[in-house]
Formats: sequence, structure tokens, C-alpha cells
Amino acid sequence: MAHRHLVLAYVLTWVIQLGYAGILASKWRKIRRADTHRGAPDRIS
Amino acid sequence: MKWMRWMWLAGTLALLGVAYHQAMYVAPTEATMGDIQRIFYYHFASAMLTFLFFFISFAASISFLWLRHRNPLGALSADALALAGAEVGLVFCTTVLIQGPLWARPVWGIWWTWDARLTSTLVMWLIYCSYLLVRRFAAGPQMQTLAAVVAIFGYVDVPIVYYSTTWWRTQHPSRVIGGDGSLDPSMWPPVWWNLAAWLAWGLMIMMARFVIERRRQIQEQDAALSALEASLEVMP
Repeated sequence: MAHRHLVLAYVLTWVIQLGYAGILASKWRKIRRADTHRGAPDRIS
Repeated sequence: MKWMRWMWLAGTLALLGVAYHQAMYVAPTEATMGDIQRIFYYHFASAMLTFLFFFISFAASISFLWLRHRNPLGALSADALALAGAEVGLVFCTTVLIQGPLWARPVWGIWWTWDARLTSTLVMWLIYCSYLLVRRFAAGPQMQTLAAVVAIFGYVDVPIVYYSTTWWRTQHPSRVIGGDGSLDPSMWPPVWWNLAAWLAWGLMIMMARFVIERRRQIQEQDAALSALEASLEVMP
């Protein structure tokens, strides 16, 4: 049981971290689409 | 600038690889708990980083309240940083609350107990969930002020979580830094590697969240300006 829990804890840690990074990536794409639509520059100052 | 981001990502992934190797293969097996103790290396790092990112949110919220009438543009940056710190802190806090019970079940024989450390950590998680809910659902120009106040008062729970094992009798092990808990010297390198790796990862995602929020704020300002210009055009 201990080994299963060790692996599960590590996997779930990465699922949560990468899940959040995925949400950020989708927000970024949405923001970039809106920026492109209004002709905004590529970077913020 | 773009190459720096890729360098940071590559460095972070390399650090995470080393940290994983240190925790799983280099660290000695703990005498009483066995291999399950290896959860500690990323549980401890996640907990420390929860405190750090909530502190960033706390400091940025104070800056927002200080700057909102003096320097509105600076206040918007502070608000974006407060949001980024709270969100990333909440992600780390969520991992802490999942790793803990997975460690506790084979060691204590139970998934959860309502002792001071566990309960105050759960309360901290709920406080920062409510902070994000305030930001999501409160309407009007006072939303950012209200959120900043929630972040400042919410931060009060962080020292309570940290010192809970000293102030009350808890089932949770004592603090390893500045507490009664101790680690074998051979266990410290994996602790530092994991702290450094998860810190690099956390800073990277916090900066990404900050930039996204700044862009959203700029879009919102532009939309408000366009609406104002349009309303002026229709006026006689």
C-alpha cells in the first residue's frame, strides 16, 4: 500500500500542477486571440 | 526575452528531474516509516511554497491598498500580483492537502484527523478559495479592494498553520525548521533540491498568471476607453 500511495501522491501532485498550467495556457491563448483581434502589440510594457 | 523564458523552463525541468532523483533514489530510507516517508520531500516543499505565495499575495494586497489612490497603474500591477500569488499558493495548498492523507493512511492508519495543523490548513485553503470566489463574483469597482482585504485578513491563518504544532498537541509531526522535529543530515540535500525545483516551477507559473492578468486588465481598460469614445461621438 505504501508504494502505491507514494506513486499516487507524486502523480496527483503533477496532475494538479500541470492541470493549472493547462488552464493558464488556455487563458493565454484566449487573451492573445483578443489582442490580435484589436491589433495590440505582442508585449506589455 | 523569449529565450530567457525557454531557459527558465529548461532549468526548472532539469531541477525537477534532479529533485525527483534525490527524493526517490538518493535520500536514505527512513527507519520506521520506510519508503512512504519520501512523500515528505515534496510535501514539505509544497507547504513552504504555499506560505511563500500567500505571503506574496498578502504583500501585493497591502501595496494595492496603499497605491490605489496614489498610483492607480501601479495598483493594478499589485492587484494582478496578488491574484497570481493567491492562485499559485492555492494550487500548492491543494497538493499539500492531497499528499498529507496519502502519507497518513499507511503511517497513522487513518486518512484524516481534525487536529490543529490539518484543520488550520483546510481553513487556509477555504479562505483562499473564498478570495478567488470574491474576485470571480463580486461586481463593481470595489471588487479589488474587497479582495485585497480578504487576502490580508486571510493571511492571519498562515502563522497559525505554521505554529499550530507548537501551540497545540497535534498528531502531525513537529516543524523541521525552527521546531522540535529533526532530520538526519543526509536527508537535507533532497529537501533543498525539492524546495529549489518547486520554487522555480512556482515562480514560473506565477509570472505567467501575472502577465495574463495584466493583459486582461489592459484589454478591459481599452474596452472602457472605446465605449467612452463611442458615447462621446453620439453626443450632440
